[in-house]
Amino acid sequence: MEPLVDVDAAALRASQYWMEDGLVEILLGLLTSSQMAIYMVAGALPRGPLMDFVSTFGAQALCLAITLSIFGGFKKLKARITFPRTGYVALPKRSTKYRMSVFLIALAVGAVTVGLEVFRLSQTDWLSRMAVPAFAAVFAICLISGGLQYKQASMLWEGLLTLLFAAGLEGFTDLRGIKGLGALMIMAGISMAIFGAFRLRRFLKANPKPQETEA
Amino acid sequence: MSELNRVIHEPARLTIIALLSSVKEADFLYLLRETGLTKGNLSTHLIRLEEAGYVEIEKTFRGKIPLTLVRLSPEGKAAFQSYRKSMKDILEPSKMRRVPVQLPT
Repeated sequence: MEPLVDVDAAALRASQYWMEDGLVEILLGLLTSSQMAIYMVAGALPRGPLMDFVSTFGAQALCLAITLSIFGGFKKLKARITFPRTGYVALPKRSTKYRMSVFLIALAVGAVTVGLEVFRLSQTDWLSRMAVPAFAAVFAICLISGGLQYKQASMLWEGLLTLLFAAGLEGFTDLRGIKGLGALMIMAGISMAIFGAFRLRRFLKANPKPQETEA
Repeated sequence: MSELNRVIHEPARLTIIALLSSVKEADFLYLLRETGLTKGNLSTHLIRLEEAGYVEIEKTFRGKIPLTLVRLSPEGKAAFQSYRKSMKDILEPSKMRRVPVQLPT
């Protein structure tokens, strides 16, 4: 007789497990919104050769420092919050194809960052008009495809919200270019962090920390 | 017909192996929650799998808390692949070959 074990579901379960406490969403949301906030502040600083240099490299350095501390903090939070409650699991080393995809995405993010700097300094008109809808579309596609792949409803909602934020910014505000983009990413990041916070709350309620653990 | 591996074929052990096949390693608590087995049952199945050489069990500590890490051994991975292939062979409908027949006139 065939045993009732869904082997493919077990593989998907391990990936979902890493997202079920909401920490990924909180930290990614904070990362997105804080980086955009830094760029907006840098953009608002008075112009001048020295200030441009300081704001450009200062913003990059601050973004890098925040990214590194968020990734470092993620592992510590997982070890403190998740593993004692629901157990520890390490995902296997990813395939070359997967690592290449991540590298390409990182390259794209780097290109966008450089583009933002060029954009901030040049403020070209057509780029300015395209920034919010184009970035919203890319971000929403990433969220929706991730949500479908990992069967995470909240990611679908976050994708939809990003599109709504973009429509709202285009339709009801004069924010264009770097300001519009910054506002969009801050809103998208905060909404992602809020979704994550609700998920974390549910997770903590459903999984109280055991007094005595055989882990 | 392909021979089924009786160690893996047992549903609880198959669940454990399937869970471990998709991760690098997992602790006892994770397996306990995901399989829905009792501590005693899970321990028994893990020992059985360890005796067969399919899993490696490492007992260590996280701070002062005992931590049991379990991972699939290379033999376990090979046995699981072979088991999946055997199941596929059994469940796949046999391909009937149509032979043209010459009817007498």
